[in-house]
Order: sequence, then structure tokens, then C-alpha cells
Amino acid sequence: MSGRGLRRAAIVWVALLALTVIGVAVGGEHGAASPATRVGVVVALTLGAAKAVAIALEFMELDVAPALLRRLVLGWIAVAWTAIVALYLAG
Amino acid sequence: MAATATRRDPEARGAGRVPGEPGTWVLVLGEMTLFLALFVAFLVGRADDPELFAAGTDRLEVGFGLADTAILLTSSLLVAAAVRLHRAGRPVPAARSAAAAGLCALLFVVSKAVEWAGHAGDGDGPTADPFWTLYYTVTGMHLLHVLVGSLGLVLLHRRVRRPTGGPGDRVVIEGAASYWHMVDLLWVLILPLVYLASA
Repeated sequence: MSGRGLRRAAIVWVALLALTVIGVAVGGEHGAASPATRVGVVVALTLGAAKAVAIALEFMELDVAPALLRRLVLGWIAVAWTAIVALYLAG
Repeated sequence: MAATATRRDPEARGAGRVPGEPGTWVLVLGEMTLFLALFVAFLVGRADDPELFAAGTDRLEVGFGLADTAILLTSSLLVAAAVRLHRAGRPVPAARSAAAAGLCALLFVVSKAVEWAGHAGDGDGPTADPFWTLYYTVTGMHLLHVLVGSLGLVLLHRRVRRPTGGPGDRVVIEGAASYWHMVDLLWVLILPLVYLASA
């Protein structure tokens, strides 16, 4: 196939599904807000941000986009992750 | 294919290539900023009443969140495949892939409707308390974007199934695809935020 192939996209898809299951397994312990629960939720939020980065670079094809556009989207993910984790831990 | 020619253009490659057109990304980044404000609102609400939000999260079924995520991730792969098959000059599999992505979108809407109906039936409607108001606001705004993105998928399908490329195909196809991937990108953050982070 010319241009960008499908194999890498399929590998990223498998990885995204795996990260989803791991994130829910780690962050899904509801109940008393213990330190362990909080760590699990932060891990799940971080895996969510990592998945967003993979979607941006592979599916949105921002890995070959102008640096400014790539930085804007990845910057948004970084800001969102920081804000969410900070507000979660403060709340 | 015009898109392939653009991709192979050394000048375009050297400068990086904007998927769709710049206007697409003004829209996408604007939508993402709106959602960031919603995420912050959700967490501020949680800070106001952590016990209420913990109780609300306990009533959510994370299985729905998992299924919705799998559906959207699969739809994103199918959309990416449709774009790439189109570039490779293979309209039939490209169109099938786009149609399958559309079915995923429909499945997501059905899943969300079933989930909402279950909660509303249990008395957890949008006005039950601040947790449920914010839950329906965040997931409802996302669903609205799924619906808008689905219209984009219809346009994408119509363009990729043509055996010969038409003018503006690349912008429409990549623009619709980028918007759909944004819907997916936002959801992978909503899953841990809404379904997990209130505990």
C-alpha cells in the first residue's frame, strides 16, 4: 500500500484496548478513598492521557503534521492531564 | 490519488502535512478546550461534595464505559483504515471500512441510550443531584459530538467510495476523520475521569 500502512494502526489499536483494560482494572476499585485508590486512579488518568497521545500521533497522523499543530494538540493533552490530576488529588 | 501525491511531495513532507485543512484544527482545538472546561467543572463539583460524587460513581457501571471505549477505538481504527485505503486507490474496502465505522457510531449511541435509560429509570436523572447533572452534561456533550462526527462519517463514506478522486476529497476525508478521532480522544479521557476518578 502506498503512503501510511494499516499494520501500525492495528498494533496501536491493540495497545489502546490493552491500556483501557489495564486502566479500569487499576483505577476501578471504588469504595473508601484510600491512598491506594488514589494511586490507581492517577495511573488510570495517566494511561488515558497516553492513549490520547497515541490517538493524536497515529490515528490523527499528527506525527507527520507541522510541529506547531502537533505541539498544540499534545500541549492540550498535557494541560488536561495536569489539570485533571491536580484537581483530583486536591478534591 | 491527490492525497498520495501530496504526501509524496517532498516540500509538503519537509514542512509537515496538515490533515484536512487548518480550519479543521481551529474547530477541533476549540472543541477540545470546551471539553477541558467541562472536565474542570466536573472535578470542581466533586471537590464541593466528594461523598456525593463517590456515591454517584458507585452507581455507574464501568462495563458501559469499557464497551463504549472499545467501540470508539475500533471506529477510529476503521476510519484510519478508510483514509489509508482511499489513498491506496482501493475504494471498495475503504467504503466498507467507513461504513463499519458508522455502525460503531450507531452502536455507541445505542449503548449510551441504554445506560442513560437505566440510570434515569433508577431515579438518577439529570436533575437528581450535582453528580448526575455533571455526568449527563459531560457524556451528553460528548454524545452530541458523536452525532456531529457521524455526519462527518457519512461525508467521508461518500467520498472514499468514489473510484476516482474528486476535488476537495482530501480536505473532506481527512477533516471528517480528524474530527472523529477527536471524539475518540476526548472519550479516552472521559472514561477515567467520570467512571473512575470520583472515588
